Amino acid sequence: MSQSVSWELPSSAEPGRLARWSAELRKRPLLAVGVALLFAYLVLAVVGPAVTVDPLRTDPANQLLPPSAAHPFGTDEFGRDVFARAVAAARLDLWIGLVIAVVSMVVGSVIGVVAGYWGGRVDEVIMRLTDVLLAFPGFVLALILVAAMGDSVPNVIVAVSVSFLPHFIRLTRAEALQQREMEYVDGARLAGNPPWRVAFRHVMPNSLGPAAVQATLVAGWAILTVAGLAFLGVGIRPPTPEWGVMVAEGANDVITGEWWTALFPGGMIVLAVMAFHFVGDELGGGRV
Amino acid sequence: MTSLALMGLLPPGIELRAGSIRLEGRELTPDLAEGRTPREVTMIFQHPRGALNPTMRVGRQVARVLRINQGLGASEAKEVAVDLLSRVGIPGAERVARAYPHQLSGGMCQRVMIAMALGCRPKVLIADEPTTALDVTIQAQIFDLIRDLVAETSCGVVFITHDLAAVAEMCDRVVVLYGGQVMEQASTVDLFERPSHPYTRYLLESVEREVDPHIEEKDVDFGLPGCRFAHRCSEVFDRCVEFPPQFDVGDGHTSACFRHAEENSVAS
Amino acid sequence: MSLLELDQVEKVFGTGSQAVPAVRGVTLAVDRGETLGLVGESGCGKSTLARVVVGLTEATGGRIVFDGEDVTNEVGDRTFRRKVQMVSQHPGQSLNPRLRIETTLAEPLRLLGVTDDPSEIDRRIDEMLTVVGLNPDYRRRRPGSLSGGQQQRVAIARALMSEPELVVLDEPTSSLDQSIRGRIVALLREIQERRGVAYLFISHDLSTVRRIAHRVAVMYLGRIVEVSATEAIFDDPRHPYTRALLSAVPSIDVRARRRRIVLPGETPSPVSLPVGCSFQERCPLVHDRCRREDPRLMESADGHLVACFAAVPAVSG
Repeated sequence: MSQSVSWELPSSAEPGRLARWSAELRKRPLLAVGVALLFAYLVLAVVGPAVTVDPLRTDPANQLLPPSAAHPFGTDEFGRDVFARAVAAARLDLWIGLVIAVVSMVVGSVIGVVAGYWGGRVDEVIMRLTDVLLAFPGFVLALILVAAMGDSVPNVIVAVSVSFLPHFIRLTRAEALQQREMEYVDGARLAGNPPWRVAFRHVMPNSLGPAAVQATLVAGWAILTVAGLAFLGVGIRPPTPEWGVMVAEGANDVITGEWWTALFPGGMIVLAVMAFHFVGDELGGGRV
Repeated sequence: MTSLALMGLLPPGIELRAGSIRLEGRELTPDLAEGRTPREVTMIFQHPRGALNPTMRVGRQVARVLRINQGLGASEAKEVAVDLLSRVGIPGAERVARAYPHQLSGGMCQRVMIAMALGCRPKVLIADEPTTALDVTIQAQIFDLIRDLVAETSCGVVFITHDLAAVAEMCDRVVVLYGGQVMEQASTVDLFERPSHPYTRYLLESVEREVDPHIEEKDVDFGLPGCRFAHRCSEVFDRCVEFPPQFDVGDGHTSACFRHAEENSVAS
Repeated sequence: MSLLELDQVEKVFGTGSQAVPAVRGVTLAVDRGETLGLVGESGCGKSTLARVVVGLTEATGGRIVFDGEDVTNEVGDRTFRRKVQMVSQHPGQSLNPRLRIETTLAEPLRLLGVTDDPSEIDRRIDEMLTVVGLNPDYRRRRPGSLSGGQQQRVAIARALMSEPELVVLDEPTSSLDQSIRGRIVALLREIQERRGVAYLFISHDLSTVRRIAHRVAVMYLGRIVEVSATEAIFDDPRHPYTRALLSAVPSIDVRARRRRIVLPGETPSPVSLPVGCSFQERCPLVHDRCRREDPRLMESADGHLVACFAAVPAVSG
């Protein structure tokens, strides 16, 4: 059989992008759940703070109230509204998670393409440095970096991004190594592209697929890492509304029966990480 | 694709819907529909190296076929395997049997595939573009080998190719397929000397005659009713929207084109 | 004066005992406006030679002369790239899948310094798409939505954008269906007639070469073994390898089931070549001298070049 004839081609009309997406979502429930959750978080993060009470306002008269209509997630030991804090934290955590994912993907992919496309010495040096980073568990590396640089949101972003760099460097390097051998690279060279242009204009865009999928997963992990650091008292400090900070503050209350102060922010972390995972796994496994 | 159906190897999602497949009068359709491959039918592929298991020595792969299909014991299978490898013209079969597929050339891998196929003692051998990936001098060797083996074992060969010259060289009868429909069938000599279907004529002309470089090539359109070739056919007319039956054009030569009905009615 | 002259060009990959000589002392010339067919089987070094000619791979020996100038060390330069372009075998892979056709076609104009004027670039893209038989509307498409034949037309268009004097065509039709193959060949010939561009047409497909080439060179294991006018090669092949190669090609003529010369064995590995002629192990005409000496290309009175002691009547000296 000739290779150009493919069998399963009954579709005559090209469906629109929207129709294709909705068909894809119906076929893959996990992806749909992930996308729906992320969308919910997004709405929460964008409009939430406008409709809730001030997350920083303390109210000594209403300490540690259980969940009620007035306070859906209850109040904490300073009488602050846990729901308002969790929603405000959503804005910060999602934002930090996405920034970290993008920063580590962009920086890691550029380094990866340089290593993969040029190879030789350059590759050797980059890969050994990556090995050094990989020698530390990511969380510990982030912890050390924040401790060294000092507590602040930008420092947390830099530190956590660096801890995720090796993933992206290795992924993109492997992809660039393959892409480098493709005939279109010869075509680009013949069309007069200088080496840097071949690498970044031609090879890099074609090498980003796996890294983009990885970035979705990393966004989830980054939220977990940031919250974990905050839980340990590193990076983001109280009274900033942040899920990790809230879990840390509420940890003692759980023992005395006031479960809501830690459980709700904890649940928000779990759901957010899951949402990113569902989307990332489904995108990686499928072919969207 | 048709050959995969014959082997019961259709990919998931594609089913055998209708029709029947018989071997020496025996109905094979139900078995095939459930993905059981008939023992008497075997297949060799276009990319022999891809069809072999890269992590197993080729001798063992041939021996395994023998153990499964002929119920031979381990040591006997090993001997017969080496014997088969030398029968398909592999020099130093003992040594080659211990090689892995990546250590062998494409031509050698195809010989190994043929040896495995022979191990099934097939009644029908399906050769799907067996030499397309090979050089012409190696292709000539493989053609000779297939011809010799057919003479020796009297098994039938379904030779699938897009290369008309290979058909002229190797085949007794030809079926021309386009878009899943049989366009024409005839003896090889008859087909080349008296091509009756417009598609066959188009194919033969594209080999021999000059073509206009500015006509764009169109792909097969599976969505259209009637004759699949209609939208590219220069002789298309209003009846082509119906499904064309096979018209007998003499000497067991049939062609699925309504033009033949026209001609007959004009002639009679 | 020839447009392109190769003088004892060599390409060895690796060093020491691992060295693979892919191209071994090739001397060839391509004239202005002509098509030289370069024929050989896989592994004979023809694609490597193509890459050396367009400067994608550096030669390890010999000289490359273009238009009378020694360009051996300048084959990667912009001025040279403008004049010598290439079309490769797999149209689907030779175009960047993410770029629109117009972006791909604009690159050589901008990057090779032909023009920077956007409206001029636009005009040339439309014009070139028409030349290669595509509707200018295709400029907004991406390669994935084109058929193999259409993709190859785009690749040819890209190669022609800088108005080169020589285009190296490395198996440009091998991955296409028979019916499309014929059209691409006809297109290439039409372009040659109108623009006077020279082709180095590399292929293992002899029937295609016969339809397009003015002269043919036959390559075996990194060496040119025979060069002559196309008719001379096909009607009067003199090297035993050329003869076997030609006779191995199946013919569409059903009545003529000829006797073929089937060569024994396969092409040996270039890593461990025998002393003397590299074809000796498969050659039906081999004799003692072939095992001692490697034959050079020798010219007979009619201009036919053959590298075989048995094929050329022994000339004194």
